[in-house]
Amino acid sequence: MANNQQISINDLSFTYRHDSKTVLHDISVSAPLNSIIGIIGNHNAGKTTLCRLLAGIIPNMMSGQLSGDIHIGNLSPTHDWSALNRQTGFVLQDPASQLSGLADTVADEIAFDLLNHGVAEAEIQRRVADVAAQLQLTAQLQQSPNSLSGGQLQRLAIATAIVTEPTLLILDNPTSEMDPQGRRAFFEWLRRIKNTTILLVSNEIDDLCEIADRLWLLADGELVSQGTPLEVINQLKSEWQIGTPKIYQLAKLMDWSLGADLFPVNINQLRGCLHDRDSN
Amino acid sequence: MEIRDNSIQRIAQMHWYNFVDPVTKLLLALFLTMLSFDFTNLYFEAGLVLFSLMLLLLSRLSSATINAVSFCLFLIATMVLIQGLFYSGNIHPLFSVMRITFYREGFLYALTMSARILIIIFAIGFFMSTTTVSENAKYLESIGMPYKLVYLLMSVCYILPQIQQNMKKIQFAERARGINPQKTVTQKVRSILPILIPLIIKTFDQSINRSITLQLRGFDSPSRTLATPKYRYFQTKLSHYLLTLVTILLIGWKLWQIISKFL
Repeated sequence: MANNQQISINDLSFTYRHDSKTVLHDISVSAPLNSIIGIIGNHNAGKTTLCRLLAGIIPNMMSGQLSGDIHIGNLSPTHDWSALNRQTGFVLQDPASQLSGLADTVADEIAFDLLNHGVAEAEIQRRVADVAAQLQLTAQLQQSPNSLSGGQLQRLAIATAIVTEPTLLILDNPTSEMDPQGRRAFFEWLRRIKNTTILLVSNEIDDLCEIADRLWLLADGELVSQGTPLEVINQLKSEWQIGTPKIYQLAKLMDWSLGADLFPVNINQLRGCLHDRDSN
Repeated sequence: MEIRDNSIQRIAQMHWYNFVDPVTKLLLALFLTMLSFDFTNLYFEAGLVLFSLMLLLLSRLSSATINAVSFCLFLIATMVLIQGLFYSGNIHPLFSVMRITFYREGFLYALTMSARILIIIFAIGFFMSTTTVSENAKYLESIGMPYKLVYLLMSVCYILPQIQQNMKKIQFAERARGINPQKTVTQKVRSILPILIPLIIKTFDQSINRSITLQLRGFDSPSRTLATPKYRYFQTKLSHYLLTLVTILLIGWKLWQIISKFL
């Protein structure tokens, strides 16, 4: 029986229709709810497909050969999709496709989800203003979504996903078009979110190691490693072709170990490591 | 602070065409088109061309409309040339150049056809340049059309502008990389051909992604709040009934004209 405080994936395999190649092979993993899970992997590792499965896009909107099961708390994307979808925010890899195409302004675009859920106008105004402030889009509220830059468009896509206050947030490479400052602000904002399970596909390994509670590492459709960022990064194999965080590289170069042949992967671990060295 | 509703009214000046609802604009386009098909008098056709042109000029003339008109002018010139030379009913010569005779009947026939094309382009251009996707969607939903149908309709209407937008991006990238200068019409046409299939696939891909996100965003939720129209329109029901009635009469008359030929 599913643990209602966990995301659990059991023996999950998937092949797209009209495709002979299996995209995901026998994935079994679990993580507590309300944690930040970073999903990493090389090209064609199956990250986007896993996100689609977690959001219920597969098999509800895209079909294929699916085996195994997923439970997010007490809901399953396969069996309770409508209920799960009401609690889920999803950000696509391509932010332009995320937009409804029916809104003249950024404010209307953000409000689209709330209108669909029948939220009262006063509440819509409040939430749109709040979300726009969180994602630094207040100045753009009256602009057309078509006039936004790539980074702003990604922030708008995120705004549309979080405005319904979801308890599950799935973000598929949401910072790919952001500038370094925007990316930093995004990860800072992500760190402040509470009571939400966040699944984040990203290539920003430094930032992921700072905020993620767990990392799932995919290679060729298989889950080859999972655990805390410290565990996963310290067990990386060269054939997975995953970059390491700069802090880890520096610590390894300087031989600043945390003991048991583990090197720090984020700033807090590095501080702790240096503090321990100074005390000794 | 009002951050959402009626935002367009606050930032932009209201124009006369904002008082005409989208359905009336579409019915007007259909009415003008039917008029041009029912009355073949050249002066009447010219009057209709002028009227539809005035509609367009008094509204917001977009670059897309100018492009469509210039492309049509090229087509019209070709049509006049071909019909003037080869129309099956050609009898009376209009003029001759180097033993090539250009006929009056073919020329007049081509002019009538050209007038119809221009009327359609100007009237549809007026509709396209004075309404936005959201205005159309909100209005159609407010008059009782199911939202799924509204969205489907809007997606179909705007698939061509989306293809155009994607094509512009690709061509811009090509020019930036110096692949194709696209200075002449031939170069422009040549640059479109190799990207045509990927362009269509990309647009369909975007449409599929959009339909997925719309479902994720709950657009077919039964609790959806009904959209309110963007503007306050003038005499919508009267204009709908009137234009529908006269258009049906014109269609009926045209059909009778066709049928009576066989009786």
